[in-house]
Amino acid sequence: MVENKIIEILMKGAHDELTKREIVILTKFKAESAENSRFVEENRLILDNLSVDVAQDSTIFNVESALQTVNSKKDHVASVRQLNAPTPAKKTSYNWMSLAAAALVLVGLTTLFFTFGGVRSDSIVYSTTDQSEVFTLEDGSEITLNKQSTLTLKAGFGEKLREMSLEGEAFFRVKNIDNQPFIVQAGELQVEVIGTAFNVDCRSNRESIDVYVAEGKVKVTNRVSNGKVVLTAGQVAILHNQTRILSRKTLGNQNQTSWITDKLSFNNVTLEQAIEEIESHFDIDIKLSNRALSDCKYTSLFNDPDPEEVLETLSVVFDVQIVKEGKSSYELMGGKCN
Amino acid sequence: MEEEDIHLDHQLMQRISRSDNLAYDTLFRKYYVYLCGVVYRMTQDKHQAEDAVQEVFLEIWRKRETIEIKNAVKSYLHRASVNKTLNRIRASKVKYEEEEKLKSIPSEKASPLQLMQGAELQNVIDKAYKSLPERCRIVFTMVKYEGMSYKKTAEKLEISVKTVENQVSKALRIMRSVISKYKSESE
Repeated sequence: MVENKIIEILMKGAHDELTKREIVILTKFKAESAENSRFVEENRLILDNLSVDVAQDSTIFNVESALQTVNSKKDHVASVRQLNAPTPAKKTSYNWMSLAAAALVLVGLTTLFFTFGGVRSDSIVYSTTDQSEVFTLEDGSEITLNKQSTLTLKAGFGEKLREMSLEGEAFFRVKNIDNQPFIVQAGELQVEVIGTAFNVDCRSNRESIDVYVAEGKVKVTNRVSNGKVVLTAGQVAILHNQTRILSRKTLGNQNQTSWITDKLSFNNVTLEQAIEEIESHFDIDIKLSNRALSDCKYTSLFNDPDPEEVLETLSVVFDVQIVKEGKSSYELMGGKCN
Repeated sequence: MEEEDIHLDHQLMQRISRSDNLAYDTLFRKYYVYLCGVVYRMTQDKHQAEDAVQEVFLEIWRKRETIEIKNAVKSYLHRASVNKTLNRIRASKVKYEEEEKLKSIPSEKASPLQLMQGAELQNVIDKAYKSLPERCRIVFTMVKYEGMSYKKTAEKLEISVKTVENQVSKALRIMRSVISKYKSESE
């Protein structure tokens, strides 16, 4: 029913920004008839006037007696714990702990975000769901964790080592601390730094694990083959899923951290390269049917674009046709370099 | 939320992890009424609200040695209280009524809603909200107050997205009709 859809949009609009498409649907609906217009306005009026405040009759909750009740139950809990000999937090079996923490996240439960029951303080987990977030570690390092990603600190963080494992994607700004190497395990790769800013992309739906250094120096080791590579600013190490080869590239690419800055910038890069970066930024698939175009040069700058915007620009510049194949895959057909 | 406040709350949590009773009482007094309000907004049941929030605080005490809250403590408490309530609702497995076949037919005349203003309007709307049937109100609360998408709400309540759609639309329809009844009665 169309009206249900309209209401869904109005509900979203009450606390979130609407997409262009949603605004178009709403506008069209209103324009269809006076009744529709009134329907929208009435619902809006209700939503706007529902009080934001939580229960104005707050006097019905008696804090002090509630606190007494809770405190009496608390003692009961305490005495039960004493009956079972208290278990001190040990550092043994941390491997099991971090696996368990990772498994909890992989199952996709949002409960991990809400309750940390059972996770010991020697295995700290940072986790994101549908938004990226910035966290500051105890050593002062700053981590920007992309959505659907998890960072697990290993036991003893900040003592001799600063070690952690990553699933997903994160940008690290590491505080320089002498004699305390900062180590990130990302799949088969181990990234070791002293003080620097770098991006690790080990998202499971990509074709490779990428480590990009923005500032400083980083040593990347393939823990399986023992291959090593040292990266300086502007370089990226790539471990291809298929070939398992660890390679290094020096980039003209400024888009490794576009997921943080929301800017996409192309400076005389090949169309093939641009497509790769666009795919990574939006997490979509783009197929270039006319291979003759792969070396065409492209220059452009986008601020917080959506995929359609970028693809439309490509279609104008290179005269390609855009065919949408599925929820997030596109094909570019025909066209020429210009 | 002020940054300083977030920091203070984390300090309270640290003291609580060392079994500091005073810190625990302080945290309780600080957020109890707010959290009860959050749950009450969903359930309109005072006892349920107080039970849920007290249970959340008891769990914090039970887990005090191992718990690590990484984000704002207030947000954690808010979500824990909502979750506790949802668990209870899911466990009670109440069926949601079938969507009535009536379509809402907006009237030709000027809407009574648009003729009311300010405090009177707010008052009437709030009364209408409180009169919503329980399940309907809970679904509506999740979407409107907890800001959840239809999909997320469906997941959390273990119902279909279609049911969420119907319940939200029904909530608004009921509120519209309560308001027009009020208006016509007061004329």
